[in-house]
Amino acid sequence: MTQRALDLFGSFSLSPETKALIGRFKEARLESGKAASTIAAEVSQLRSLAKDAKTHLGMALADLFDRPDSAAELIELAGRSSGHSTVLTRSRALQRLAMLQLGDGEGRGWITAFQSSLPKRKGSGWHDSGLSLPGSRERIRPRSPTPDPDALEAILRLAVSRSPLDGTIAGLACFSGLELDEICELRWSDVTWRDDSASTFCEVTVHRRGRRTTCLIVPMGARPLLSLALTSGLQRDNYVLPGRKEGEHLSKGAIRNRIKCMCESAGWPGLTLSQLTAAFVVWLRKHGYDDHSVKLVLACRRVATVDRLLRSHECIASQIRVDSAMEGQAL
Amino acid sequence: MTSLALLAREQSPVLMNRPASPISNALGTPASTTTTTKQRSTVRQETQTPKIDSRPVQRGLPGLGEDTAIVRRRRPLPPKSHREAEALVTLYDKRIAARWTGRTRRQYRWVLRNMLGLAGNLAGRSVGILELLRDEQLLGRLLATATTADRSREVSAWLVAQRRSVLRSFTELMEPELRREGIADAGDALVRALRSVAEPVGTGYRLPVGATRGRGGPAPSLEEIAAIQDELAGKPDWRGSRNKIIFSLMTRRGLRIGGLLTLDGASAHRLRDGRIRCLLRAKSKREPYELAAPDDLTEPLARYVEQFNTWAKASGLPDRIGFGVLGRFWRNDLGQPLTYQAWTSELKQACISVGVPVYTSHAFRRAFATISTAVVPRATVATAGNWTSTRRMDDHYVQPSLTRLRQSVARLPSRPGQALPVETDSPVLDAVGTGP
Repeated sequence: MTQRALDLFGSFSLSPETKALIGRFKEARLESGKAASTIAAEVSQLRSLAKDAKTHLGMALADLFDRPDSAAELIELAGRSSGHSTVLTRSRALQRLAMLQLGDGEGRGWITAFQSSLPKRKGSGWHDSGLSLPGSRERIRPRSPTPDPDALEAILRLAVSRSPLDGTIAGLACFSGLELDEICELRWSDVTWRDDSASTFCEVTVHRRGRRTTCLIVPMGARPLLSLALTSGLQRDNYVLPGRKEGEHLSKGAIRNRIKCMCESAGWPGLTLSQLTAAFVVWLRKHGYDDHSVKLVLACRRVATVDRLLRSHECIASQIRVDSAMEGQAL
Repeated sequence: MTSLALLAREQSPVLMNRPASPISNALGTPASTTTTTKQRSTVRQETQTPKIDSRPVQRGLPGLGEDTAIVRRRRPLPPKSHREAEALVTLYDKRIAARWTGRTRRQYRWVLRNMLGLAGNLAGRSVGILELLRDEQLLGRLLATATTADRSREVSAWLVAQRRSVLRSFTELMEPELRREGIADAGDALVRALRSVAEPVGTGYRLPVGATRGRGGPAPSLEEIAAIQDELAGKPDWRGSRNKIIFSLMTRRGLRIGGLLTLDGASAHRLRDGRIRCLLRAKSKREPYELAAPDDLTEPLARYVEQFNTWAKASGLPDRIGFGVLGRFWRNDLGQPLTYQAWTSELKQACISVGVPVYTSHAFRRAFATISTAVVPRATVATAGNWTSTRRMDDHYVQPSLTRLRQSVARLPSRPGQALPVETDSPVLDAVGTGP
């Protein structure tokens, strides 16, 4: 079997030295307190780089520390099949590995040599190395049409009819500004119920980009959450969306799949969580909320985020407005 | 040269257009009596005179002997420095391909080749990119020359600016290789070359060369639009439906023809309530433009899809179109993707048939801006037409007709308390039309 066929079937295995090197890197990154997702991405890129080094140059990953120009070649090569951000992660991971492997002084020297072998662009400041890394900047995944605010209610109705868990996921995805990882890691202790005279809603405390903030879940989304709370035994330290294993939460992929499935059933295939949040903003505006109040509900830092979320909907609304204004004209 | 060879040279058009020296070499006659052998060898080294394949492959004139044989000439090998430069250009092309879109790549590749052609023309010899970057004077002259490569006509200021951008991009992306070739400060050299030819203005420099870009242009009036639409829709079967829909979308949404023609069926969505949304490529933006098709076009769109598929099936074509179906949505008479050229020719024919000036597709974007801004707030029109701001739309797209405006102003009340005449309830819309 050829090397290419082996690669296609994923039979390529790293040498024990490379595995040990990547293992040390992983441990060092864990010690420095980096997020698990960051470490996973970096390790994955290092493995790919080691594979490329073996396939194209016939050398091990550690050998690249003697030849920074070859490392730059591999980075350039990666741009032909990967996106820009992937290549960026690969380059960063390699530089961090060099610092770990070679030590501070020698590592910096290697990085300088590595960077001088890469194409340049105009730097934007002292913090920018001015490297021009390859990789496609194009959006690969095609976008779906912008949902109407009414679509949220349809999705929720459908989800509630399926199961309390689906109803809760739909409520959190459609009627709050929570991000996917925040939904995953939500515990009952983070939820504060507000029993207003009219209806029940809740507040969720989340840690977002280094700050503690409060996100509101409007009554429409809080209702299925309350139903789930009453059936789940109200153990405060438990996850709101428990996984199959004891003490674990539902994975991101599982939640994403459920959202995808619910949206498809409601007639809006391929919607992303971001699009649902954008539709929620329109829904809030429809119910009389101004942009600053929307910002508070979503726990955004700036109102500009609200503007950005509204952009695609505004485009559609403007087209409809032009149509209605031009009704009766020759066009 | 023998008299027989001369005769053959005069009579054969192939031989007449060739330079004398290779032929005379092939015929075994001295090239020139004025140059010495040493001079000739120097010239050969510099210009790399092509090597001659002595095998006769075709008789020049039958029956005139071996002397008149036309020999196959090999393409001359470029000098080594040019080959290296060519390799650099190829590598640059690959780097561009790994970073930017295919469109940018094709554009940059063309501009670079064109620029090297012009540099060769200015220098009077073939110039490679390395030589160009080493010669600051030539670089300056090149960037200040706003002509085509053969210097036959002036080019736009946009292309001149593009040349600067391409050179900057080349010096940045190929920095490691240029450093290896001994050109460490190519970016600085470019700046110095530009400053040497630019005029100092204030604390900076200006290089006003090239024809300034023309913006704006005529916008068809409502009557003209209606006439053209009728003409386009008059085509038989699905072609009429296709033309009507494309034209309606252009005039009612102000769509750019490039984005509209490249619509893929996979990006055309039919929602559960029957509405149609399409995601089109937007100029200079990463995010697509979301088009909400007007409600009255929903049915013609469905009819077009059905009619085309019926026709394709009857014609034995494997292609099908539809909402969510991968493949170009708009097709030509052969069932292949509708090209810009085909659409433009169709539009031109329609304009000629109805007796109106021949408008470009972009003129209808101007018409959309002109007509819509008369009745809808400008910001709304700018958002609907995917303009980044109202400024560009106002400055270059909205073309109110001064003639019609004069007519409508004349109908305005002249005394306080006087009511407007009944027929002028939309004086601003009346002002819409072609020309000043």
